[in-house]
Amino acid sequence: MNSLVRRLDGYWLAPAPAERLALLRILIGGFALVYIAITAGNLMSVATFDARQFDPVGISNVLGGPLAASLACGLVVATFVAGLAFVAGWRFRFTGLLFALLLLWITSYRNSWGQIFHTENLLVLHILVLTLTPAADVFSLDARKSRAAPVAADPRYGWPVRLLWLLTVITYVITAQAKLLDAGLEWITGDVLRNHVAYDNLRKSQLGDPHSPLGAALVPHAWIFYPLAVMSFIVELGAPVALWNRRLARLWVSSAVLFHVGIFALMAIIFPYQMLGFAYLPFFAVERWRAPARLELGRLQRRRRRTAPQW
Amino acid sequence: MRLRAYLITTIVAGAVAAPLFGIVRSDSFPISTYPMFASARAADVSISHVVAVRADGERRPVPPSAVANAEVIQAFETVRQALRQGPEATQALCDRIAAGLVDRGGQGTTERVEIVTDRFDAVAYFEGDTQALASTVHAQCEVRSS
Repeated sequence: MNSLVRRLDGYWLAPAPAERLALLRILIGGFALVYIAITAGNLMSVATFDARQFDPVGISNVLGGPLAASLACGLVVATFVAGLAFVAGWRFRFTGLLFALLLLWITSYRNSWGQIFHTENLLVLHILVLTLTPAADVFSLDARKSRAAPVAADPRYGWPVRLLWLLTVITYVITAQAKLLDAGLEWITGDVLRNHVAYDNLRKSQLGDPHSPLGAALVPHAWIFYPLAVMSFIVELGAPVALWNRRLARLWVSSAVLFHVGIFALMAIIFPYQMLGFAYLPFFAVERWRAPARLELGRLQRRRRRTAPQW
Repeated sequence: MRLRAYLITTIVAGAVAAPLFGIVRSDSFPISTYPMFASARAADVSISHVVAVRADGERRPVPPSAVANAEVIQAFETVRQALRQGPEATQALCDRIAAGLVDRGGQGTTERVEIVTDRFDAVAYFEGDTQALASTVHAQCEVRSS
């Protein structure tokens, strides 16, 4: 029993550099900021919807009815501002939590009008976890202000990263389980995937939205969808291998990104957080990417100095 | 630190994993059962949507932004929700969309707006058979010039 606990501690509480967690805060928070900026119009558009459409999910259930339009829009702006503080690591203990709660609020509220956007769950969960951790101990305005000494690798920076891994993995396993519970093995052996691709593209065309020309072209060829269905299951059910070691994690991450590129190609559905790779950053030692980037920057600056006109 | 790490891990991971153990059965946010594309979908499908009918009889889908917002699925769910709520809500949605088309100056020669459910064989559609198998008009409303 003791050895099991020791092994669990050794895995879950393995030390990690503070820079890794801090860079994840900056990169994932930065993605969230860009996402809010791009989708702000959409997030605010629900403020004009008919009140009869309001069907609260998650924390929006505390509301008896829709918010006033100005308040709903104001909260989107407030989320963006709090997000800037989150990324900058300014008074992180307060602004981090504020940003996470506001992000949870505006996405839950937007999802409370008849359609849940499953593209946002993981981003919101990752931000929530980051706010509960010392993600602003370095690379932050807080750290600059306190002029703290360099921080050594520590378990307190390691377990939050592992929790980010775990949440990512769980979401994929749930999607596989949902398919097995709803459609069973027919999802792989039957025409279920092909029918989904056909339905989704047809629905888009009937609703006046661009559909995937590739998906439409492939629907008549039933055989293509069997290997695609198998590969989908391998990525979703196989997600736990990413917890095993870094090599397997890299392999799984590559497959998962390809999986989302495939969804986009066949159904014109974008999971931006996953497809652009931000969801999988916790699987990498992102702090090591800084050194090559700095070297490259130095090389560019030296080249510019050499080629600059001499006066 | 150890206690805090395991406590937060157990609470957060436990909540997110709840659907795996059947503790959460309905979809929500951010805890989700991820039901998208999980159902055993058949090729025979019904799609409720909004159609603009021109004076010459040409029928065109009304874009999602005129129904709800730029998100196509939001527009789709808006129509489905109105249908679930009954004829009054469906007619109200139809009237709102028609008025919106006038406001946007995009009415052109559009004579009326219809909320329709069309049945298709989705696979046959992409094999060239684009005719709906059946159609039901739930609501229609005239588009008046501004």
